[in-house]
Amino acid sequence: MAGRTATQGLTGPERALQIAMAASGAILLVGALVVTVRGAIGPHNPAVVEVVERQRDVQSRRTIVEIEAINRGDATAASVVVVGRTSGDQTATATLDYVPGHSRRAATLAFAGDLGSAPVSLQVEGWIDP
Amino acid sequence: MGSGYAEGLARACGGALIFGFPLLMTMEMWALGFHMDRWRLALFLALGLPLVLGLAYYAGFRRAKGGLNDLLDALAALAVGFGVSLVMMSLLGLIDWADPLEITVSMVALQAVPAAMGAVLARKQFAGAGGDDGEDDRPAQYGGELFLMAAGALFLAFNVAPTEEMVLIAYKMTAFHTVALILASLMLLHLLVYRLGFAGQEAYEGHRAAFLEFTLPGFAIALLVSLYVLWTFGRLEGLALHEVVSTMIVLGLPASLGAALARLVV
Repeated sequence: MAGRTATQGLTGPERALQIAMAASGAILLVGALVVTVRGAIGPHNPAVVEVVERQRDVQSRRTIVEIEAINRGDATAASVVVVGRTSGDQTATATLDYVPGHSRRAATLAFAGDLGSAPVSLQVEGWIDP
Repeated sequence: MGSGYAEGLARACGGALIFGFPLLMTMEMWALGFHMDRWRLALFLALGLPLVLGLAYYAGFRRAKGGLNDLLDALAALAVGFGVSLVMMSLLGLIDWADPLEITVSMVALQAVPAAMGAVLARKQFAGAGGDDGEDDRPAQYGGELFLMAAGALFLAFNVAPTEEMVLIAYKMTAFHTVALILASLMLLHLLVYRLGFAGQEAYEGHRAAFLEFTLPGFAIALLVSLYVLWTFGRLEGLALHEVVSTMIVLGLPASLGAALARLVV
């Protein structure tokens, strides 16, 4: 190994900054490891996705239904397909890329005309295990 | 330009940004945070410190001497990697703070290690702009050269392995393509190794010695690193053995280039 020039020692505030940065790095790395390992050894129940209506609005002669998909399982559900059906056999579909475990994702379904307060049947048709 | 710690830290942030951007802009990388196997992520994170420490030894974001300084700078580079990744992912709207902590940590941590590699190599990246004059370099011994090849291979492989294209290319390739790609990877690696000149290469008079000492081991390292990265990202799940090998060879091309070009940066 080739020789190197003398150590460029840090003093005062620079030394404090060096130690603070190194401590931050150590804390972040260990913290990330702890969270990750906790996730690895934690429960692994499959995804359980349900969907609920949150809000309804009429815009430009269309009924806009705001929905929320809720994953009550531990695993992430990918490509979650949500279908809404009216009593008049109208259907609207939305696909959510990911709904992580114990998380929720919003989506919007659009139906022709003013549905008023007519019920919209919401159903999660399926998802994949990413 | 001065060479103070704060200035080195600023360079490290720049280096992390430059190395981190391609991954920050890759959709599959964000998605991995949702579903990546947590044990594999933990292993990747655990390997991050020795990797960055090794790079701090050979390069570093400032001229520091001694094992303690290398360790402190490696940890600081990791802090920069985490910080830059978190800030950039927040700025780009990639983090949903309503998600569980585990998801956010996974997304950021995955980006943080390659960003930390950029941070720790900042002095070399910004050579000529006050970053490096090369006078304090630690020339690598043969083992060090192999480590640097592995680090270079890991970085480039990491940039492309998350994408769907890696597996798709492997599906499209025939046996003829696979053999041709192996030869092309070997040839490119050898040309870069031989032309760029590795430390101690003066002892190697010809192509044959360089091929045996650097190119072949470098290619083996590139393939092993490719296999590791594909496994880490879960890209090998459900694949038949021949598809595993094809995908490894596809990723082996950028990994080989990374292995060879590591010497350009370090």
